[in-house]
Amino acid sequence: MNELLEQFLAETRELVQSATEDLLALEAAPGDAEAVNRVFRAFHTLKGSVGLFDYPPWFALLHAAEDSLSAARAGTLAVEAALIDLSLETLDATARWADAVEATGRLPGTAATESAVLAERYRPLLSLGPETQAADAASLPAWAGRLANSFSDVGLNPLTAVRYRPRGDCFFAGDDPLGLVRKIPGLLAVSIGPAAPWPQGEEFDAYACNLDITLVSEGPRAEVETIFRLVGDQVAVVTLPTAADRRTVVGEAKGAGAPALEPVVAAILAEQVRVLAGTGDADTDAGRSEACARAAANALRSVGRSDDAERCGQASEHGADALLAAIESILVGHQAAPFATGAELSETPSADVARTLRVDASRVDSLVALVGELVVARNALGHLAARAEAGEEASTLARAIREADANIGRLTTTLHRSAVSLRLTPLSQVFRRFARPVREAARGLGKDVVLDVEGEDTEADRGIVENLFEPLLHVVRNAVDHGLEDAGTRQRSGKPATGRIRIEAGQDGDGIVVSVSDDGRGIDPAFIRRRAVERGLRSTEAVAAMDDDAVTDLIFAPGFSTAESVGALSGRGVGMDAVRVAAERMGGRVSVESRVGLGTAIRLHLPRTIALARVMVIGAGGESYGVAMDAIVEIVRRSRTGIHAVVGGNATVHRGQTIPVFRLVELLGHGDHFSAPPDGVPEALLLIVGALGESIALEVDRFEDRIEAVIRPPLGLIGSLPGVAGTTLLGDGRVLLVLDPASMLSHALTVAQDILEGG
Amino acid sequence: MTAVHRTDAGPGAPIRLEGVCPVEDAETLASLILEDPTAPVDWTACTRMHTAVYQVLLRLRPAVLGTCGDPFIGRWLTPPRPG
Repeated sequence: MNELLEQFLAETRELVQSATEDLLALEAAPGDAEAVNRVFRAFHTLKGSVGLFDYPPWFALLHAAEDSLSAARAGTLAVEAALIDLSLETLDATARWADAVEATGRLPGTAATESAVLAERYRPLLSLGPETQAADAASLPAWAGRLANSFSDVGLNPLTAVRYRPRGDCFFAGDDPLGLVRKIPGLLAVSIGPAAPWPQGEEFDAYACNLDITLVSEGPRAEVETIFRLVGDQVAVVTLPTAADRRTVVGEAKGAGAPALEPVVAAILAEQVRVLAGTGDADTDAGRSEACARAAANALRSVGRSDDAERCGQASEHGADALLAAIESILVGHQAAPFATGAELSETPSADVARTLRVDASRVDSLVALVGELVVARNALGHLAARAEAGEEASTLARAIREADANIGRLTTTLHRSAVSLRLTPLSQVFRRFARPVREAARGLGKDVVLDVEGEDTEADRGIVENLFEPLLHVVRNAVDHGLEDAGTRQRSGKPATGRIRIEAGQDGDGIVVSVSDDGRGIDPAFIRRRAVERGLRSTEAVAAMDDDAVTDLIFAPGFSTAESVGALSGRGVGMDAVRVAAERMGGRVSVESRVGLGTAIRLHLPRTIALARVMVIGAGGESYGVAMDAIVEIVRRSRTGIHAVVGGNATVHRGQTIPVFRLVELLGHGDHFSAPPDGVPEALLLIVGALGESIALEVDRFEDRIEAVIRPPLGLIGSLPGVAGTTLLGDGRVLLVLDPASMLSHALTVAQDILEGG
Repeated sequence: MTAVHRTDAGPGAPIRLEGVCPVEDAETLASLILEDPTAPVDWTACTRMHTAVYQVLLRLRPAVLGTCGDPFIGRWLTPPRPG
């Protein structure tokens, strides 16, 4: 990947992140002009950098977004849920496309459609603009809403409200904003205030205009607009509903406009678009488009849109292209909900795509300083050598050398620590990504949730921080979905209606603890007991004998899902056991603490740094085992004819040396079925390993994989087995036994000696 | 033309706005107020006030004496709260 693109992707992700945060902040406080500015600038920069590359749909979408945000910044478009949602969706798409570009170098096939759909949805926001934005009290921008409320009793004529934010340099242009206001017919009220907080401490600039003028007039709207025609870009005009209007608005709001497609249906349709867009093989096209038409039609019928379903059916008779067009138009026409789920699955790049590491500059500086010191320390060695050559006395020289050694030793230790700390990343990176999912989860369930985050400056290895998001997201969604009660239940039990979820991180000895706690209903041990028995995880007697803590811990057992029904959010076939597996893969563990009625806290105890070992996964018999790469000297294929039976075993000649050959299956005690070398395989796979100063060949049946993993020391029963270095978890959750060939072979070495002496 | 006066140099004496106060008066008014922040502003004799001048009052919030002689300001934009 070229450097420019790399830079672009890194910057894009940062901008998406910061804009998302600002949008969420805006949702909470729509009047924050500075946040609107920041969002606008983020989109503006995004658009600019996308423009450097050739991604027309992406550019078009960002352009549409920028236009709307620009209007919002000027005050002519209200910052409302519609704009915020749409902007968030745009950022979603942007993030996904950035991932796709990184993985494949191009936009996903659906990008063009998706871009068109989203851009189309921006349009009504803008065109509603000054001309027609009226009547619906719910859709009034906040400033106009306030005015409307204070004029609720006035007359039957519609009132016109104006917000006028003169440009900062308008005085230089000769404008007198109040001069315009003076001319307004039927003025009822004017209020004037600073548009942004007055700048502090700067030199007083009397000619920088910073005013926000709002006014209400009972004069005709057209006349009001005429007065402001020269400063139209700085003005928002809204018709306030009359008292009579307002009574009807509530009833109309629901029925107005084409109802939006349900997200699920939209996602299904989007998926069909994706499949159709990917066609190209004439033979299979017909079948595929028929299938797509059927899927789309079924989805549409399920929400009572049989006419649209009909359209898909008819279009499919005219070929895939017609069907594609039809589905797209249905999607566009009904302002479909986001695509995320459908398109994401197939095009999500693998998680291990290399990411750039952003490092605090001060850390690099200290590293450079240390290296400088090391260079100086090395120069001292040259000096010492000169002294030795000059025949200086050994004892004084030895002291000087020892000093130099201590100095270099100190520096290398510090250097090592600093280098390791380069990989330390603050958890804030992960934590800041939660505001969004929590908001969406809460919204989807109709719950009010406040998210508290604490300890986000706790640092951990990049490998841990990057892998933390998924398991943590799962826990957080669980908390929103199952942990928190709905508002009614909460109030009945005397809790505030708004639920509270807290993500917290902190140091814990050498490691870190990340906890997610909620103030919800807690986990009822009685329920867990019942469920564990139902699921066949434990017998009735067993759960009765367990104490409550142990029972609560069962939520981490595979196959346990506490949801009464499969929740839309968390019930995706993975339970809390996935969280436990993820924590253990990182070399940590997970625990739960819960009190009925008060809430639940899930804690992930993780190491601060991880030492990843490269492990070779090999097969012996029907099983897989790991061997640390460090323990393997060499891997060779040797023809069976090169392996000779000698007294007590086998041996082969490797690099001019006779070395004993052991079959792993035999060492492991599976030898009964496999003791005879398989005849069908002409070659043996040999791992040359060093054990107690000797080279020994270990014959394995196959090489399966090479992985990087944290090896956990063997505990309990496994710890008592000879030859086991530890365990690690495979990606699919299986436990892999990592062997230690040296200790495994040590007891066989006496036999080996005999072989060598005999042969 | 000049609409911003300082009747004498004594501290606390009112700053007077007189006649038409155009945009240029904003700076003069601002520096007068900043020089003596305790001085009130007498705007009864001002017949027309430019937005920039009003902005200075809005921002610096001097005590204001009487009702503004500019009928529009006097009616719609009651004295910015003295602070």
